[in-house]
Amino acid sequence: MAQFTSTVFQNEFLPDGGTDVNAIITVDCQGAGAAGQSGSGAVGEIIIVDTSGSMGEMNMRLAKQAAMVAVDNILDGTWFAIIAGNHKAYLPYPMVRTGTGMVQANDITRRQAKDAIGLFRSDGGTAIGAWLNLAKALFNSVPGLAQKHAILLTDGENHNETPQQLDAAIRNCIGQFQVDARGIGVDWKVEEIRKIAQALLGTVDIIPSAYDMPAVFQELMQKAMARGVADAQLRVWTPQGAQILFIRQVSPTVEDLTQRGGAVNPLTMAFPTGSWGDESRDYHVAIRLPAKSVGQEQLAARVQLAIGPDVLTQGLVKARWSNDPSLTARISPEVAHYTGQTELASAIQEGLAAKAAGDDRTATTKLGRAIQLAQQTGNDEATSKLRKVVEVEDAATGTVRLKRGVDKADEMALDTASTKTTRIRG
Amino acid sequence: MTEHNKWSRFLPDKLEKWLAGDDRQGSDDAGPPPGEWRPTPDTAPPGLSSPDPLLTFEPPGVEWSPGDGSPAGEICPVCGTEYPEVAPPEARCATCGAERPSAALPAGIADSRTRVLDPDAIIRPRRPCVACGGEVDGDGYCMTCGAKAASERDHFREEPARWVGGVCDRGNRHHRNEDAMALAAGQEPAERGVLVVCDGVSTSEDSDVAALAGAQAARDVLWGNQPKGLGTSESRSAAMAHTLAESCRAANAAVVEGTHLDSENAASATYAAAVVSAGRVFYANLGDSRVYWLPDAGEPLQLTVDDSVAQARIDAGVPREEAENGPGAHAITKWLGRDSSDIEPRVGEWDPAGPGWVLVCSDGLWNYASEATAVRTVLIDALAAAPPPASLVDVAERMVAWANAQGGRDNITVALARLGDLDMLVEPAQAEVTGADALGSGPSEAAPDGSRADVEFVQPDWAHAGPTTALAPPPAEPTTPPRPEAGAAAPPPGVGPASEAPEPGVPASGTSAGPAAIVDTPPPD
Repeated sequence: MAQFTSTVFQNEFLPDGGTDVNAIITVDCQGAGAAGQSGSGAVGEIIIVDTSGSMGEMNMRLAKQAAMVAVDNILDGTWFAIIAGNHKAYLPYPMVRTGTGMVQANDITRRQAKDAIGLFRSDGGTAIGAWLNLAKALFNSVPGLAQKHAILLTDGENHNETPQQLDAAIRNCIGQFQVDARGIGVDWKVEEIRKIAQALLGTVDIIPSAYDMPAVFQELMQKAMARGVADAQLRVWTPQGAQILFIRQVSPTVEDLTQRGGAVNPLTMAFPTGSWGDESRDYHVAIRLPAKSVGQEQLAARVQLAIGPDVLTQGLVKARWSNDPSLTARISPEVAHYTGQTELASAIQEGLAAKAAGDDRTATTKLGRAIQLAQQTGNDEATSKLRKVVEVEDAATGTVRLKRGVDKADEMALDTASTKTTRIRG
Repeated sequence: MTEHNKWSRFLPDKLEKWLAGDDRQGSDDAGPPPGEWRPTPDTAPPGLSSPDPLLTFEPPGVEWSPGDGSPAGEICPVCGTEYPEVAPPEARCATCGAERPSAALPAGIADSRTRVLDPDAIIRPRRPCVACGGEVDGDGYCMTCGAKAASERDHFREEPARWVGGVCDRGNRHHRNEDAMALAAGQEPAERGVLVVCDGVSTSEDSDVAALAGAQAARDVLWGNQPKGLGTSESRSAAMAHTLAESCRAANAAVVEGTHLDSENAASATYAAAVVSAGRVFYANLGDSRVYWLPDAGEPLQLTVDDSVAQARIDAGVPREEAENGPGAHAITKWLGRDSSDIEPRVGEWDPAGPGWVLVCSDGLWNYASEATAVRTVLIDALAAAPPPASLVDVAERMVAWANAQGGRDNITVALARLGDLDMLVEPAQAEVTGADALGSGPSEAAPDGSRADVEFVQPDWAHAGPTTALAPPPAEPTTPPRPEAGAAAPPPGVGPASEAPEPGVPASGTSAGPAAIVDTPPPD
């Protein structure tokens, strides 16, 4: 059984009249075990491969190879299926037309699946919403799947669907399964794929070189198979009269959870966190309380990790009003760090959006701020990726110039990496 | 015998000599005041309430039963011999050798003195939330409003007998309650009661733990060593002075014991104690916690004199109000703790001439009502506000609530002993009496309650006198410092009536010149 622990980092002291409490809660999971092995229920995996015409011969060949590697890494007993997608969604494996649309992995089914993948041809358009809807239908065709995960590969824009159709499909799939999405080449839209990954509790990244695809798929599937905790919830209790300003996951990536919560009871919201392996995630909780008099102490939030009805760990976010400025003026380093990292993520995204729209002035300001924040918070990955997009004159003051003739892949890599955060500790 | 000498210097009959600056002469030959010594019934109270269930204090001899005429002391269950009153109590019966059932108690008491309290362990999570009445979770916070569950340490009450009760409260501004209180009393009103208040110095470490350990240690000594048997008033006073000093040392030992060896800021606390013995009040203090006598009729008194910078300034001629609100007003010049050089308390005794109240309190209360008359007004309002049938603890709660309403800038402790009838607590008509005038003309005769038959209060002539002619030490007007060599300058106002009063006590004054050192206890702004 997985062990969850939590640590709260905050300055609980508020000045007289202070109302806003900020805290970072680190939730750590150990002993998660392998997916489907710890009695938490059956696991389903679907590999979705873009087979549109734009893939071309080489990308298609490497994508097939990547999908086969992924199949090889599916653990015995895991329910799985392969989807081939263009402007329609096909089910190349298992080859059934109705009934249960997934099979359990063993040497024979894995072999059959790889044979089916080998027959892929690139042709047609792109309708990612349809792929997602098929994945949902397949997962639902197997009763009792507790942990559902898909790997999605695409190389282009969602040409054959309206944004509304894609949004409807995403909404249809929220809470149903998780998706790790990867883009190959530079013709896909980061914004579009990020929306899918964020809504479906997964990750988004660019695979800059087609030759990296097999390795990326292997890693993705291995990670998925190492998530022994099927589905966990972050629960946040706040006192009567309090207001949740925001709840964010801030590590390993920045994800705003505020609007994703469902009420457990009038004072407790539950936020889905998906499956867990041996890992730790950080959450930033901001609560507004009615001010109390100096000397009073109260709880601002109970932050819990729960599986089903069981609360496995709880962190207490406190508020203590004091008139000692040496206590109240201090900002928790963790809170400051992640506040900076969150701002970094939005500075990069807004800067790149402005650049794409031709607003060089805003782009320069935003990306300058980004390089400043990346430097301050020690985010070396963001710093090096930013340097490929802007000429840095002075990182400390955020003085930059936009580079001319920037490689599109570098921009996209910067965009997809924008939400990745570094930790203050370690 | 140094205690005896020191004590006798401040006996009431020395008052005039002292005021006349004649203190040094013949200080040892003057006898204690005349007075009738009555043996104290050896009744022991039932177990006392205590802030921590693990620290439940039960004084030796818990077999008290009201009015059945049986021997009051504890008897050996095997042979029926009464155990001798000695401290520490004997663990076995001297006659038959059988093990004493309550033998474990002294050890428990010793433990309660020395045990380091874990403040978190005192939290009882399942009590309803004090703020909203909601359920309190196991994590110590309310499940509805999030308020921190009041720990027993933050707010506790003791009521060992109907006539003795108190409340110790964290106040509004402080994060923890560094005040402490420990009470003990027999059920017979005004016969035997102990009230101890210690105020932990907030700038020192672990003073909340130290103050409670100190108060309980002092209480244990005072309860366990009250004069027994026949004796003269003189020997009794001397013994009580000795015991008070000893209780102060015990409190100091407990405070020191609770201090971590590597603590750079040793825990420290004040000390104020009142012992009611057969209708007389013996008191002692160190620091700025106070003992007041608030009579139903007559002028209320502050019995103790603070060891504080404010008091030193008052002695130097600064008006009280200015001194108590000026810079460093809350710095005390004596305290208990590892870094204290002088733990000899000022001791004194007072023979009440009529029914009234003994109040032992911390500065959390008197910050808002320093003058004895002001404190009595607070008490009278609390009596009026506490709906009958009220207990002393209810009255103390009202007084604490009043101090909190004034701001509650410091921890607040109010410990009360009622000397006289308890009727005003149950009679609505009496409870509505407000104002000093109403009380001043109130009944002073002994209550019909048979329990008070042996306590005769004689109404002194000055009891109905106006406030201006009554004894009101310490003087608010610029006057002499309480040093014998300087005492000849002028007697404080109001001494005339005092000298006519039957054996009035006088607040004892320290013999040392100015403050030896200063501990800052700044209240939060």
